[in-house]
Amino acid sequence: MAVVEVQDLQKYYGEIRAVDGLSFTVEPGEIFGMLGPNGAGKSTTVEILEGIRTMDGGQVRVLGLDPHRETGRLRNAIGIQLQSTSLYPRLNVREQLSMFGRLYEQSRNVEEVIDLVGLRERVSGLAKDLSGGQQQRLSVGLSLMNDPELVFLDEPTTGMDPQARRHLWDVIKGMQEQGKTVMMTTHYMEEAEYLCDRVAIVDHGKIIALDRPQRLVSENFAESTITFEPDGEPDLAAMKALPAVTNVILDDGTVELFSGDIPGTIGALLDYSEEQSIQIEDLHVRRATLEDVFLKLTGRRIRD
Amino acid sequence: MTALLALIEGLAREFVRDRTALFFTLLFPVVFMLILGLFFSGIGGGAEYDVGVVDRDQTATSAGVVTALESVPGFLVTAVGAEAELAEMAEMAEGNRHVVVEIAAGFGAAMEAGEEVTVRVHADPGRTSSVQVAVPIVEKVLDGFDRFRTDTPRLVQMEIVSTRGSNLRMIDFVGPGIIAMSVMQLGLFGSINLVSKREKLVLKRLGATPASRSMVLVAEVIFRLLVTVVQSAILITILVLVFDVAVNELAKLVGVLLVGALAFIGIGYAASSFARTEEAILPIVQLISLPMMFLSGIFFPIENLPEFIDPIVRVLPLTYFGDGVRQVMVGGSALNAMWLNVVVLAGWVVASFVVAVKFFKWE
Repeated sequence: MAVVEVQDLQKYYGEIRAVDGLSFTVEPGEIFGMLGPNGAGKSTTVEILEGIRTMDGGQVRVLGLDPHRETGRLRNAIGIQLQSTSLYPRLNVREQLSMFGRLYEQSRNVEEVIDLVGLRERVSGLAKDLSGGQQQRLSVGLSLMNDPELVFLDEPTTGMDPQARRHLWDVIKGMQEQGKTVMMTTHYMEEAEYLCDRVAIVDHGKIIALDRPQRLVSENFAESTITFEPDGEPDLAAMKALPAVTNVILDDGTVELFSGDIPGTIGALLDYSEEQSIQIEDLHVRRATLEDVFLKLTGRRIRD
Repeated sequence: MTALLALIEGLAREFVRDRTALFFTLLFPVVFMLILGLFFSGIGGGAEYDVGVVDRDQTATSAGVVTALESVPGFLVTAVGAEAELAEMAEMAEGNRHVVVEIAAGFGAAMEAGEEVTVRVHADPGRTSSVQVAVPIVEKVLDGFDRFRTDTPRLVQMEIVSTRGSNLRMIDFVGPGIIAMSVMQLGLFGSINLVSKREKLVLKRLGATPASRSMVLVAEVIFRLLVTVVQSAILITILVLVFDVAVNELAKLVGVLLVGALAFIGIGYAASSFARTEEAILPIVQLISLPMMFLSGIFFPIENLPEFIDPIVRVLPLTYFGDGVRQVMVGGSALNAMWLNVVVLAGWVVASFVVAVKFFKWE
């Protein structure tokens, strides 16, 4: 049985359709990601599933429960990390975890959670004195205090440096290894690619694609991408005419060529630049990413 | 229950670590009271007790009583004859005597005859020093005098007469006023912390646990009441020990303080429903508390205010709270019947909590 079932979920804020007919399921033991720009309706969806917000239409079941009517039972069974860290500023790490533990019917050992989120050295530090990354980890720790079978993480790595982000990714992978189901939102492509078993790409309250990250990329792109910085104004039409090129994008002075035949296109590109006396700098070849998928499906970059 | 205790404990830890909150809720009223109290009462020097003696007997025996009282260190004895009795009682009534000892005519003769005789001692129940210090000393003196005079069983009986100094000292008036003010501020300013927690989404986070929203708010109110009790206890102790103000009815005082605290906590929370940010709630709270401090008669009698302000004064909860606290502490100069004070405050409790519950936002 699915852990989360969502059928045609709707939520309006006045005229704005924040969530506009979402349907998906989250299966036991998977890390399910919602990927999309700010304002896409990710947090709203998650908060409806957590029983924090009401919905305007559709059906929702979480662990077989109705989040709105069976909130108390649901809350004891799920872990919640809000987008904001929302900590008591003057409680230290241990006090914070233990206080939240006591709000639940069952709770995990505090010391175990401290080690799990890697806050052993800051265990007596007040929340207000922790770095942004440490606060986020504490906030994730709070979501684990009731040893939930399903954990909701809303943009858990926002504002973290790369090292801290890596560390939290390990923590999240660890949750999965312990048999928990994780539903998370993010606007970091690489995070979704690295962590999630399945990703729903959300834009304007709608799911525009839902699959395994690799399949999303391979379904949308047979080709890879060549990026470089030309000196001067590039002639995009001429570049599109190069062999095997399917699409050309100019992004902040960088040209991106999508090509099904990388050696052929690069050879032709170098010949072309020699003929036209164009200097080409910073030439890279990369596989298409979820970012490209989002761009292709919406015509916008995710962080625009 | 575990959850409720966890929430209260969390609030207490937060509070104790917040230096600013500690200063304004616990230290500031104390400093304020000490300054105002010293200003109004002019204490200083050793403890001195004004003792009046009305000697209607005018015998060698009664003169012996006067001499014995005069020999007590710290006793400033004014002995008068029957002709000055009224003047002496007037001094008592104005608060210029701690006790007045009345020796009836025939005292000496009765003692000679070995008959029982009664000495009346007028004491002021509004002054701890009168009831708890001066009266016991007078009793000891009479007792010793008794034994010194005869071997027979005790002849001198002491009858204590309560004669309240009708003119309260300034500190008797202002002291309870400061307690009322600090309870009001504690309640009102508690809303700032609440708004801050809503702004930082701490309330939303708590609301996402199995703890019900009402439990979160109940924990807040219980904690605020606890702080009120601690703060009031400190202030009352200072009033009693340093400024010699009496607490006549302790049980009633605790009751009035709790009802008043609930009213102001409720008003604060109601106000918090109409402010989004910490910056917005502060002026609102000040707008509520400042006029009350000046118009509720906690620092000076409201008879001194112009008449057209009277209707406003009659609505403000602090008017009733200050009067209630004063009545049960030092008595006298009652503005309203005690039941009216309690009913009005209870009305404010109900009204403010209804508004707070109706308009309260969690994020």
